[in-house]
Amino acid sequence: MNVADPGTDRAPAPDGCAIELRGVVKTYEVRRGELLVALEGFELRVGGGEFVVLIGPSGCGKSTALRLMAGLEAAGSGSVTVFGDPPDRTVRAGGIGMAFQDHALMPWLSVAGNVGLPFRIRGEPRNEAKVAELIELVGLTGFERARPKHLSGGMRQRVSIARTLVLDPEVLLLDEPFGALDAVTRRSLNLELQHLWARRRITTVLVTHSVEEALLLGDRVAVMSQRPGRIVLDVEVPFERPRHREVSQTVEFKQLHDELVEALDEPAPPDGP
Amino acid sequence: MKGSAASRIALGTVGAVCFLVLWEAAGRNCWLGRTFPPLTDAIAEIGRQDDVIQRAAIATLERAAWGYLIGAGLAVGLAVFALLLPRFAQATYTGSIVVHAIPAIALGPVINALGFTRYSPALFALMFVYFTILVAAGAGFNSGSQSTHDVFSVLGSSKVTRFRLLQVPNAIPNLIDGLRVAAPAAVSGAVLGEWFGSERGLGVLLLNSMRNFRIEQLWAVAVVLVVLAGGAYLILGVVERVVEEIFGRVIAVGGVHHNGGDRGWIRSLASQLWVVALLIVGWWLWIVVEDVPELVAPSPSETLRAVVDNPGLYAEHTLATLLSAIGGLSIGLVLGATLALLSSISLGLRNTLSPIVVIMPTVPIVVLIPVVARLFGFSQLTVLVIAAVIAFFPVYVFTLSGLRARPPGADGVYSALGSSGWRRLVLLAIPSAVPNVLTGVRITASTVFLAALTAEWLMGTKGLGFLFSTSRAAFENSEAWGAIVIAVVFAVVTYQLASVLERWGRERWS
Repeated sequence: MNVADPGTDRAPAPDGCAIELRGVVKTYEVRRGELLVALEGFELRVGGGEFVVLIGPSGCGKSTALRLMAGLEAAGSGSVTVFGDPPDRTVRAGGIGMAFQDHALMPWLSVAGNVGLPFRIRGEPRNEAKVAELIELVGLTGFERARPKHLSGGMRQRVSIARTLVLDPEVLLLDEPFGALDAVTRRSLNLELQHLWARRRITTVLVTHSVEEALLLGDRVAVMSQRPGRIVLDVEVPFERPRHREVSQTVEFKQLHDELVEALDEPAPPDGP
Repeated sequence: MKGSAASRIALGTVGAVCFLVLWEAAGRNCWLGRTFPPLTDAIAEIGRQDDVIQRAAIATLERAAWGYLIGAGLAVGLAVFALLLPRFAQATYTGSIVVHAIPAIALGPVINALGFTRYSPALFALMFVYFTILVAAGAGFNSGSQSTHDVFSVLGSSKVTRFRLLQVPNAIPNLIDGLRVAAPAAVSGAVLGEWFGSERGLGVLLLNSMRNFRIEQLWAVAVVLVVLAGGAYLILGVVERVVEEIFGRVIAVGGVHHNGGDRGWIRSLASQLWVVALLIVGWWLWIVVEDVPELVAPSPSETLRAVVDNPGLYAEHTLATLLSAIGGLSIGLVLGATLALLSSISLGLRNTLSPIVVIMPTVPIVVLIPVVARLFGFSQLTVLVIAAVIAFFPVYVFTLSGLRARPPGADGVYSALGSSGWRRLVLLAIPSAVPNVLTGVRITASTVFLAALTAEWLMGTKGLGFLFSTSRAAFENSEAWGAIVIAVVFAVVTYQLASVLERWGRERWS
């Protein structure tokens, strides 16, 4: 299918809901007969063009929720839909872009090769102009032929972000893409991501540990409990876009920050591990 | 910790020179007896017989190359098959382990009887290389991080696209590594194959000079074989460097584990047993359908009867082989681990030993047998020494790399606590090395058995290999195959035990 302009190609479902998880339960068999409940009664709705951030304590199942939305894993019970259908449908159409904590770049491909890889995976001719445009957008012009091992950590993540955007996805799933970076690089990539996102408001779910990152980027922030993970708090982020560095100095920002941190510190439910 | 490149090379050169000087001195002064000539005599012998040796070398190389290429093709094909049809992966690998454990010496007479004598060197070379390459290719295809696989899944990649764009490039460094390690094994296989009735070749020269006490010729041929195998190994080492530069890191030295995991070991054992059963049925069908006479190969039931009828005989020889193989493995383990420990403390020792450690894996195993046999005589001691030598090097290499690879940051913890170098070695380095030592043991476990068997067959006075050779000579073919079956069972069981031990060690110590 033609993904050149998915904005008009596939309008969000009538109620404006792009991604919906309802009553999702996900368990893993850790060892023979030993079950780990990652998600239980998990509910989340992401509107079309909305940027939702999922935060929660380590091991609460944030990434699992994201992997369910990407169709990488199947829910034990409950329903996961993307534009009203199971995620597979959007996956088959190449409509999901996903970035990972480790850059997941192919070490044998150059920057341009990695950014253009989705075209090859989809069996489509590589749109050179699009690849060049995205490389420029993430500020890596001049590095087209460099290999990942010659790049810094921040540059690798830029390549990874460019790769997730190259097919103009309808849904962007970001699994702690900046988690392994230092604070300074992370902050500047946050601001860059915000600019990228503002160009074409793609429905986005970002998983992160950082409350500050969540408030800089999200329209909404959903806080998860400890395992088994559910949403315990869901807040709108009121700040005007584009948000600048200065917004984090405001009293409102700090209040919201404290509120979220407090929600994160909620003790585990009594029957939890 | 590392030392400069210049000092490394200098110490390496010192080590190489010391080794050569020691060899020369030992030969000149007969420190190791008359059967250990100085290196210069062996080289002079190559010069005297250059035309004979050259002709033999070309014949052997050609056979080794054919076996190597076909074996590599077969191995890669099987690895791809196992990858694309995961349901059959376990069966593929288990079947390969069992086939790999069948001693070549048992197949030699069968190949001869079927009239394929001239193909046996290439066939043996094939058998010697394919398992190593299969394991390397399998590990390569399965390497690569979860997230790179996810990139393909999220984009709805087809199996074929994933294979072509992700798994093939991922496998290349490991595959080249396997091809490199297999190169000397191909030479080994061709030489062993030539012992079964070839008219010319380095293997023939080697055997004749051992039997006729032509010590200089024996060593000359051994040196030529080591140089040939080493040459192939080094060339592939350069290729590997280049490939590594392009394709990134090489991972997974330990090989793949297709058994166990989440499946539970009873089910995994059951799924392996049916492969064994399949092989036995195949053997039986072959005998019945082709109406193979007992003189070529006995049927499974005849073989079983031979074993059941003579329990005492088999027990005695099995014990002898077990003593040599396990004894050799233990000696190799202790020496290898101890020397690795010393090397990890002393940079000088490590660099001095490095040239020998680089050369040793390139020495074709079967070349060692006649040479060690002439040094220690035709006895079980020789078998033990060969098993120990074979076990020593993998254990040394793996232990050393384990001693150097500690959990990241762990060194800092110990330094911060003001811990001494010695204590750090005991509390940190040795525990972190345990999994690697066990990997070394697993890798050598079945090789040691096969080497012991081959050595016994060639010059032993006891053991299953010896029983095989004497029974063959007396046309007691069922009895001969009984010995082989027992050896296969022990080789497979040893390998599996070593795998279980390794998995336990990895879980416990890393």
